Amino acid sequence: MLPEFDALADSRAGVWLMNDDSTQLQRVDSQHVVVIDFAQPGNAGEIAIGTAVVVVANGLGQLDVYNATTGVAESQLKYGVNFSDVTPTAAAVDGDTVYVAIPGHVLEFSIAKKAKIADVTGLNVQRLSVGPHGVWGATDGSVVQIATS
Amino acid sequence: MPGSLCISAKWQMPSLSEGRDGQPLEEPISLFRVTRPVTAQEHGRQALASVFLASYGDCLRFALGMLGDRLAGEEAVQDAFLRLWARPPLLNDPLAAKAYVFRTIVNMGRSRQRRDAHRRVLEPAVPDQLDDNDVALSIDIRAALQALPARRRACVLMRYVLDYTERETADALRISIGTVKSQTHKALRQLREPLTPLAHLTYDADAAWRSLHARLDTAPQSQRGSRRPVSRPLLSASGVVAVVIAIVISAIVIVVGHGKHGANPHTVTPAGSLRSFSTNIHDVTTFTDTAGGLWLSSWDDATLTRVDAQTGASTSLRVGQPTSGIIAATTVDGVLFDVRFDTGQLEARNSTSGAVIRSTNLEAETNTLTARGSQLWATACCRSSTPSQTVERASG
Repeated sequence: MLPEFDALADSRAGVWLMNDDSTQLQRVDSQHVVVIDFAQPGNAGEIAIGTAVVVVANGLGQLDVYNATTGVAESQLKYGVNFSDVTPTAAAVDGDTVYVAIPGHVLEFSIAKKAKIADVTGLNVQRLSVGPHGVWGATDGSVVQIATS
Repeated sequence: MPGSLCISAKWQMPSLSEGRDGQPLEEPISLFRVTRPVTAQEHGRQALASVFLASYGDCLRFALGMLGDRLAGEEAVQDAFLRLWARPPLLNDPLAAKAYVFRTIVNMGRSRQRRDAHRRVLEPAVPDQLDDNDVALSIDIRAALQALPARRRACVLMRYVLDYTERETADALRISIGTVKSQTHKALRQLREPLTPLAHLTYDADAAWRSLHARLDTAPQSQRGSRRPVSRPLLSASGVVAVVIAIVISAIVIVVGHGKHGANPHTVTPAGSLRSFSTNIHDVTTFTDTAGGLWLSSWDDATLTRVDAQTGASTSLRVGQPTSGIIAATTVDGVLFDVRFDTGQLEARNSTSGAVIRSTNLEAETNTLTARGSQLWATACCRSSTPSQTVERASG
């Protein structure tokens, strides 16, 4: 029996629910149950789900990458020495690339390279969206393109 | 006296107890004031004391609400300030320091909640001892507060016990105003007892500071001894050069880095050529990219705004009463879906014009939407007091 789940992670790879204690994520739309126990329980921060991975950007300066099929943790990436305790405001996955918005920055990570590859500074993005027009961030009073189609 | 310069002056030194005009002074003048430079550690303690004494009441009320008993609350505040002490740069910004303490207490609350969940399996519930001299914080209130998820508890305590504004709460917890509103709303629905006793909590901040001060000597503080007085320039000349070099290197890394990765179906554009369009939407709650344009909304205003991704032209669409904000939006097969939190009204729209194609009432407070193939999924909140999976599935 699941505890009270009321967070539904927006996803193109299944329907995932997170429990209120932010300790685990569970896929609920398939007979094949996948449960992800967070490496940092209670610090889930922002969650983004791609076709093959689930990423959890936490408030401890790190991005945890999990296999969406098995639920196994695959890698852990760092935001950087200056961002060890920042809280992310949004996260998005686009293929191999993960975007994490933190105050004043949008960080870009490569899952394959297991590394941060760019830092777009000066942006206070509140929401990220991946869609037909590319990757966009919504800030307070504007929309900004992060990556083009 | 040959070879020497002799100056003769007829001057009588005033008595130390007299002023310039010979009038008695209330206190003797000290001719030489020996001043000793404030050490880095002393400066740090002064800054910590200033933040501690100014915010102790708020922090204690917050910790009491988060953790459920006074002793644990007092310890949590002390521990949080000890952690703050290990982060000297934060001490220069009292608001950031206080926000850090709150976040630390929230994390302690989460940890305690997890521990308690495990303990409840093994031990029968025994209410903590209440101090008669304390505020009459009833077991019921504590139980209700403790039953709230940590973030909801944090929101409701900040808004209604500490009297923070939505903006202040959002800044302190580093979440959006929309999240503050939704979490607070949910929390209030769950709480059945008033929280006013917390607001009348009595405490002795000076005694608490003395207790904390005694622990500072044994607490680690990074950069201890390297802290400089406030009057020191922010950057030395070499520091300015280092920052300039760092900025140049960062710019190079950003531009070069954007062109290197190929697995991404989208190509990252160098910062200078990113498209950026102004909107009139603040505190963005929902943001989704459809074939028909970028759609976004704010919790404060039940309006959907569409921004053309090519031209930036925007149009706004009123979708309900101003108090009935949109909590979630997503797209399924090119159709835009949006749902309002309090009414559960779900609309399917043409993603270019915004015209309603179909309307459904989920008859529950809905939190989130997500698309899965041709299916739309939603979660609903507060339908009952018992934990449950509250997932609705609508046909595509």
